[in-house]
Amino acid sequence: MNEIANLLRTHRYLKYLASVKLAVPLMVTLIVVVAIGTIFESLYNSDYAKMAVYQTTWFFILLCLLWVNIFCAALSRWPYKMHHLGFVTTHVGMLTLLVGSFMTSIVGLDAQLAIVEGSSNSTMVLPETVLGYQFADSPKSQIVPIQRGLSAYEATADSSINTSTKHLFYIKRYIPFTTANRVVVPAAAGSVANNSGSVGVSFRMKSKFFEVSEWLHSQENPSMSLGPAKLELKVGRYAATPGAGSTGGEAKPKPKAKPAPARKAASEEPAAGNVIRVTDVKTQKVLGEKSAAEIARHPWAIGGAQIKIKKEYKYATVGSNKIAEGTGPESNPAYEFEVVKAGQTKREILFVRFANFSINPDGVFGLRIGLGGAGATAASPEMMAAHGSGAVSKGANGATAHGETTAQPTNLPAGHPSLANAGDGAADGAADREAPMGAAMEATSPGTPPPMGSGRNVIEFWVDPDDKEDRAEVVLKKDGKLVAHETVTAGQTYQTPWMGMAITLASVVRGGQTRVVAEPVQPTKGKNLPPSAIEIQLADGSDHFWLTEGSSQQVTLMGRQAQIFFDRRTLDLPFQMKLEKFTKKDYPGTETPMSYESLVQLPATGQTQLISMNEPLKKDGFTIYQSSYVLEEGKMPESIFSVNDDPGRPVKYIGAIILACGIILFTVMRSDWWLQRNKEKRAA
Amino acid sequence: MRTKFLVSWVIGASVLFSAGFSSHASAQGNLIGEAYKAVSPTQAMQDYKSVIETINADLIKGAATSHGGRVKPFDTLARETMLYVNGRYGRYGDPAQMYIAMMVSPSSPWVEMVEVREPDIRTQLGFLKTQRLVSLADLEATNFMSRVEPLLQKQQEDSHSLNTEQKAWIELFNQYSLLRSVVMGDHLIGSMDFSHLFKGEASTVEATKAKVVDYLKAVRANPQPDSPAVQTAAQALVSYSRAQKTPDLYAHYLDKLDLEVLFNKTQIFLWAAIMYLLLGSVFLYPESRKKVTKKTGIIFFAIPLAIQIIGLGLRVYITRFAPVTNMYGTMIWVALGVNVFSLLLYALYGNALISGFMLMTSGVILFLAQSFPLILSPDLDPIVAVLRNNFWLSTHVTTITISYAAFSIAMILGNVTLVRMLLGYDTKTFVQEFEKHAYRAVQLGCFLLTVGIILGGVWADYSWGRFWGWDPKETWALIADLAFLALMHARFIGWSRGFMFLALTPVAYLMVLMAWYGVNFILAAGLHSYGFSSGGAMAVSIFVVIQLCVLAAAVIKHQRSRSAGAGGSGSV
Repeated sequence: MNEIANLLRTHRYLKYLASVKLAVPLMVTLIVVVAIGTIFESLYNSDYAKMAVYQTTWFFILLCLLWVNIFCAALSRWPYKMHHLGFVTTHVGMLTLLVGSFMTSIVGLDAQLAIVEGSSNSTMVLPETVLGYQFADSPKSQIVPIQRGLSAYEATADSSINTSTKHLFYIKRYIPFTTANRVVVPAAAGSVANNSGSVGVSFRMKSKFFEVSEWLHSQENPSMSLGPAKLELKVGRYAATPGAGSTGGEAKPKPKAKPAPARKAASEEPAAGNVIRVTDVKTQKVLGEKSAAEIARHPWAIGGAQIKIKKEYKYATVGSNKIAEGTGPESNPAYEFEVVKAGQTKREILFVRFANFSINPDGVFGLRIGLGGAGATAASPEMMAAHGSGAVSKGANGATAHGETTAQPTNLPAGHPSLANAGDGAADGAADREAPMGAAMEATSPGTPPPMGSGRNVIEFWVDPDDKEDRAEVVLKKDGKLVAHETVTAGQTYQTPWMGMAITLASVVRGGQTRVVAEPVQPTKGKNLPPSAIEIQLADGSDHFWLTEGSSQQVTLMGRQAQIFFDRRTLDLPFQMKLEKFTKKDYPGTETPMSYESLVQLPATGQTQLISMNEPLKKDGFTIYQSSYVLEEGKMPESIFSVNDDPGRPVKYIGAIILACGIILFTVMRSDWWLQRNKEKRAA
Repeated sequence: MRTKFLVSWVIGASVLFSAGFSSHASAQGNLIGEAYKAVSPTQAMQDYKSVIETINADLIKGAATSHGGRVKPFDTLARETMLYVNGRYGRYGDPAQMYIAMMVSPSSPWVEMVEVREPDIRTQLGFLKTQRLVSLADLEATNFMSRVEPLLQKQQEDSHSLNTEQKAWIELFNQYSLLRSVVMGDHLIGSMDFSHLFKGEASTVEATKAKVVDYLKAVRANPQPDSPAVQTAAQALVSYSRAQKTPDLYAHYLDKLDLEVLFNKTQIFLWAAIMYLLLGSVFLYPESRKKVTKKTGIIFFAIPLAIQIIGLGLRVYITRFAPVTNMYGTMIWVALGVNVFSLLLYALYGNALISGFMLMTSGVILFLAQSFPLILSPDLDPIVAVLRNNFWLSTHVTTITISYAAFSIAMILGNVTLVRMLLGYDTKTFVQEFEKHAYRAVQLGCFLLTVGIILGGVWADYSWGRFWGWDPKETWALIADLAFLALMHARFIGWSRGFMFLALTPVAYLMVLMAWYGVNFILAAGLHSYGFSSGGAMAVSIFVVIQLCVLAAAVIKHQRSRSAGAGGSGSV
């Protein structure tokens, strides 16, 4: 011991390791480095800062160097005397604290566990990503960790980091932040997958309320649900079914309808001009009318309920199941109402241009909110046809809309609630949007009827694999009945008679596959980081493809079916946890959150417990904290817990206590009072 | 903090699209049925001021209103409203008077009352660059709404995407909406009516409105401020407001309303600041300093300390949590810490000059805290979920912030040294004494900050599940600690002794400034988001620049004099 201490004091180089002359620059470096980390956090988010600074190898080395420096400094004072007490204690405290945090970062567990209300879960998600594969005939999967870095890189079979899987596949490219699009592409040359006979279409659907780009593939993704509509891809040619409708079965373009008359009934803006009418659903009696401006000022008590205007929209757009204010130029005035009755709150949307639209098909508390006054006439059957074509804004509406409308014996009073059954174009469009919006908006009132079955509105794409041209037949059906049929060539846009929805056929691919294409993007401030993506090259050269975080791909490895996946690492808790209820409380009358709490049950024991901010649950060495939550309208609440198993914790606590004691000792033993006392003692 | 002034039912569409005061839509007039009277700004102001004079606001200051997550007296509501709208508490009188007069005076929409804080926005709206205050009617006559509407939309979509100017527009819109709802009565009725605090409870808005209207009518009908009719109506309103069904969480505030009115009125911390400055100057002035004995000196510390403790005690009594939840609270707390620690140093070493500087420091911090209520909000509104743990709040946060007080002492001593150096004082005479004090202060600060950081780690471990997560607030606290520790270590090996130790304390203090102010007001990132705010960045940047200039100049001067001195001694 003495020799080591002596060596640390006198050795030409080693003495620097124990020197304060190293400590001060180290501290200053640490200051600069972590300060830069906080700036990264401010510019992007905490994950970025961790990747850029706090979780890098060089930062770990810096901390280790600090540890060695403190350790050597403490050791070099050996043999300790009384006056070393404060010094030694503080520095031993520091060392212990650092050891504790090293233990935490190396062997500690810090995972997330998300549970949806009413269900159980035990699968925790860890922050690190892994690349893995699993043969179809084997239950075991192999994984290799993928370090998330900040810079993209390219690799060859030899330079790739995942040496353990090199004989099967390797990472060709890595992009830290990406947007990934799945597209249908022609089959790769030499592809092992047999795709002959398969077809794919990619298309864009656009209307006033939404815009989506989607694709369908006859083998991988032949059908999908988009809101209340079902999209299907069919191989072959569409054969008209008898009785499908007056316009069914023909592949030639429809004659263009004359431009729709401009609407005059409702004013352009949801200004004072609009009158809101409330009708009783059962008796269909008009209960009252009041100007929107007035309701906006004071909630309107009518029919035993209170109606509030929650928001007015001038350019309402509906996207991702939510209504939001868009930007011009085409105005689409709308009101969002909040209807309160007997402590229950429901929402309703009223589009001035689509007065017969409702997110509550059966009315709100037996009431139907519609347009009154001048606007009420707009909802008459004749005008609804005008609505329909008004909605098809660019005048390219098919005759079907009108044909259907007039053919249907609709005899609806203004603002009829059950328009979902009306066959007219505009009403259909309105009904189309009902289900998703209803689902989205009704989060506050669990007792609402479920959205309509999604099989009612079907959009079919028919692609003939033997066709030489890139075209598809688009068939619109409602309740199994043909509404419209059109042949669209790739690149063309088909203006459907439904709610002004336009379908643009982007491409038709035969014998192709769907592929993920990853594009690098910049992370944005305050948002979650975009996912990383890796391009996998199979070792036999047969295929290469992109995998973004959380995706997988079916491949053939050494002649066996297998799956390669790139995902967060997961771990199972040794026990299941069920979320009974998640509650977020606000201070009454404000939107300032007061508390978050989750009532969980451990099914194994039947024990229930409340986990809230500042009150974790401890079980089997794991500590489970309330970390976050997802409250989305139309979805069950989801509570996110952070699960911790930290062997470094006691070490850190002991270190902290030693450190605190050390500082006190240090302060006391350096004080004039103590020095004076010692001097007197010595003199005595 | 500022956006808290918005009451959700005030904002948005109801104000956006309803017609202006001058149009037919508001023909029915104001809350007491008097038609709005469009007049010139001067005339409107004259009317307004004459109405103010007829109001005895004391009669209804204690009425209960619910706002910002608690129940507060009408006085506080009026103060916060007036401050937000026109930038000051009482520009034309008592804020409660101003508030009531806004509802009563028929020409109030033409009173220049809304402060357009950004000069650029003034010119963009077609006002003179020097016209700070505009009226509601003025704003409605501009293209104001068309400017704000897309921004409100943008804010709703992603509030991060707004730049400073856009935020200023939205703030102006919020000021406008708030004043408008005050004038129309929605604000007072909505705050005074508690039925909206309960879900599914029958609304009592109409009853509340009737009481408010009764009172306003009485005020209008009786120009004598203390006429019995007004007194009766005011009394009825106050007791009505207090007798409403109140959420359990808020019930305790009801007994404290009058106390809070008193607290508002007395301005305790302002008096404490004045005492600090007066007593500090007694210490600083050489003639009077000689006459101060140690006993009177201790009393000098004790008087403002007692005043400040009473003020803090009242804040804690009303809010029921430690008064360190925002910048204002921590500044008051640090002023107290500077007092206590320098009292300690005075008791130990008895240096009256240093004590004078320290009392002055406490006074200046208190003054600063009082002077910018828009940036440093003194509100007593409740705290977010994660802070709702009094044990940790009153140990961790108080320990951390009190360490800033110790560092402030060292920083002031450092700066006094720098300035004295620049002024040509002989450093030898005082540096040793100053360094001793600064060293002790830094020692104390490091101890408290380290303990505070550890306590924070324990709290974080307890409530977030990790001891340390490199969150900006905790990281900067660590940086400040490391900076002072590095300074101590450098002193130990002789790199910074005497003058250099003192000269470097302000540099290390800049790290404290960043941890204290910068993380919340500039970086605005991380989990400690409850204290985030904006404003003052320019002033603080200027301070930093001046600090560094003074430092550089003094250090250069010091080096020169030292090399000259070394040369001189070498020749001997």
